[in-house]
Amino acid sequence: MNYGVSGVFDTATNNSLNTVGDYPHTFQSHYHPHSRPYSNGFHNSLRFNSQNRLDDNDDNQQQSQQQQYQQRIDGDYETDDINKSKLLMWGLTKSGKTSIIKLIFEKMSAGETLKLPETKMVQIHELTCGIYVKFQIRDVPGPKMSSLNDFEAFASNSTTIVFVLDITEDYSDAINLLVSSVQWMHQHGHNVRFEVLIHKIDGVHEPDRLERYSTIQKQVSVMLHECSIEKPMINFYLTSIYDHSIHEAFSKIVQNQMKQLRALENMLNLVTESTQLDKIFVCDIYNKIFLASDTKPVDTQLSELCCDVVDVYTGISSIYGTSNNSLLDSMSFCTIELSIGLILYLKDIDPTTALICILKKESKINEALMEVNLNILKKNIQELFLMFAKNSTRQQLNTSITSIE
Amino acid sequence: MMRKKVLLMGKSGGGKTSMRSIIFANYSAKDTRRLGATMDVEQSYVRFLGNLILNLWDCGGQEAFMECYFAAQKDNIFKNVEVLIYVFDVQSQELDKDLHYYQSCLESILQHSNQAKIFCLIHKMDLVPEDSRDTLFNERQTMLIEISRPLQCTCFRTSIWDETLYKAWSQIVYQLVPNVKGLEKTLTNFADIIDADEILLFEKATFLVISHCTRKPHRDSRRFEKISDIIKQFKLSCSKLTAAFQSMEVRNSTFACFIELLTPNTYVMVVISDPSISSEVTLINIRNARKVFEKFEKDVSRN
Repeated sequence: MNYGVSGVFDTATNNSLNTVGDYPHTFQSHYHPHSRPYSNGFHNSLRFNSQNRLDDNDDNQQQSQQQQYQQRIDGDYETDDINKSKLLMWGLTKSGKTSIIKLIFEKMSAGETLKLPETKMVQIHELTCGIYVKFQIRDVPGPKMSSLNDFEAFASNSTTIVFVLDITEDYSDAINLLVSSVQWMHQHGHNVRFEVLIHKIDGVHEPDRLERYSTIQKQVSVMLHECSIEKPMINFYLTSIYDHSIHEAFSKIVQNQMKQLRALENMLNLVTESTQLDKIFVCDIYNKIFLASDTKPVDTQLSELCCDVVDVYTGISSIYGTSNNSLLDSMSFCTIELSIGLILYLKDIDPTTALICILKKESKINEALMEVNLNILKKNIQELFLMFAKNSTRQQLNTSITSIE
Repeated sequence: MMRKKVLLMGKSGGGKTSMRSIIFANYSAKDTRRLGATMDVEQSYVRFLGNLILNLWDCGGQEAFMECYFAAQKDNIFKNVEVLIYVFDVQSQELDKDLHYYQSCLESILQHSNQAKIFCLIHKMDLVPEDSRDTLFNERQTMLIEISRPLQCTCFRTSIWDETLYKAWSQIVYQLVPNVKGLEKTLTNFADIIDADEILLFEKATFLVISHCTRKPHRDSRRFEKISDIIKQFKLSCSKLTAAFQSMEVRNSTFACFIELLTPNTYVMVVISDPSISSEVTLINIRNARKVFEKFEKDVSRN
């Protein structure tokens, strides 16, 4: 449940969306410097730590704290700009692009996103999932028809395009836009991945959903085949902001951006193979995005439940934890025993990321041993992230040196 | 086995059935969309705390039924009522008519069950812009308290989309729990012995807080209903896997919180902020306390 952190959000909406007055429907081609500091672990920990759930008195204090953190973040981001993944939210107007970002990264409730005005200016969000996975999302005003007018300007430097398709409307225009965007990218030689969210799927009767999915997929691949684009990098997902599917889809999208993914997965596989743990997820507790998991298949409902464990942990910790510290600290853990013989276990990795493990009750876990194993895993994951971060800065230094020569 | 009659009244579409479905029938707020208008009176029996049966009378609010309640069915409906819950839809355009029906209810209550406790729920508050909620609620509250004289009513603002629903229903149900004072005394004893910051007692099915003991003051006065909400949401998620949760432990460096089954009908939540007390100690303490509370429940039901 979202407790509507309204004080903070209202100021956010007023600052960045700026829908009062006439704004030309054109792209502003410079970096938008003060889009809100979204979903940085530190930023969000401010929201949880003070008594801000239903008391709206601490706005001013929070704003100044946020500005401080924004300065810190801006500093960090300057060095990482070159190699960072850049995502573009693309799709017809009113398809749901901004709602998705607000829901996942700003913890807006689904009901509130319905009241969002149309996006008229480009919003650039610098986001992190769990401190080390950094990426940029560009949220643009969507065209009313399938025209590529501003696409070139919007899509410059994008590494991935997240295409949102509203399945409750007549989607032939949307498919045309998608196909022409893919064509454009192909013609200009950009190797860009398209992640298509078949969105608002809650408006489709359940038995029909898979059918729609395959129709759209087939139609798109046929149309691309006609333009002689073979094997395009496109993934399709069925999503809705009213359930967990959007988090799942975005988790996969974020995972596709992560260079650390393969290594992380291998690490987690090793652990599940050699211990009693059945399944391990690495999750950012503020966005509820899964950064990685071991490759054993799991019931979707069970992975949804793991997400809900995060809700329980953050809910209870924000009530009973003291407001000065971060919600997730080195002694955090949460265990929940279920009647179906499973135990869900949450443990911290760093202040924004947690490990969520599923184990069977009957496996007679030696708790102390599990503590030791998980601590080792935690340290290794931290080192892995640090190593990747160092390597990328080293690469940037190298490139800058060569360009001077 | 004690039976207590609870009347749920209010205009059609006010939210009576939705509320009762969420609290007692494990509906999620989204699920209530598929509920239709209640025809005449729907009676349900909810077992509460093992030894108590709540006989809920959900009275359909369409005009034809309302007229009937004050005429032909008056005796039947308004006799032996322990609690009257009247639901006002905050967005209603016919405030006068609502108040008129409310007053008719009060008259009938005065006549047939004048000891009944009266609760007014100003419902659907989520549809009111946030900055006007307080003023609107206070206005309505003053009005209702005035109109209800000589009877006393307690007003709550509620919405199925947040935790205010649990606050109102916890207070309502608290009035019905037998020997609630004795329960609180036992709980306080327990808290003192194990050095807990706070102990909450929940009814098992609804997770409404029926009793609590706070030894260390806390900054958030709305925490009880928030916790009911958090756990209820988790329970709903578990039920998708046809599972239920049995126990929970949440801790970080500043607190530790244990949610365990205490008696067959209640769950206890123990919050401890002393880091030197290990989990095992608290769990053993809870286990030992079970016998005391079970005995207490048995004694109460015998009486």
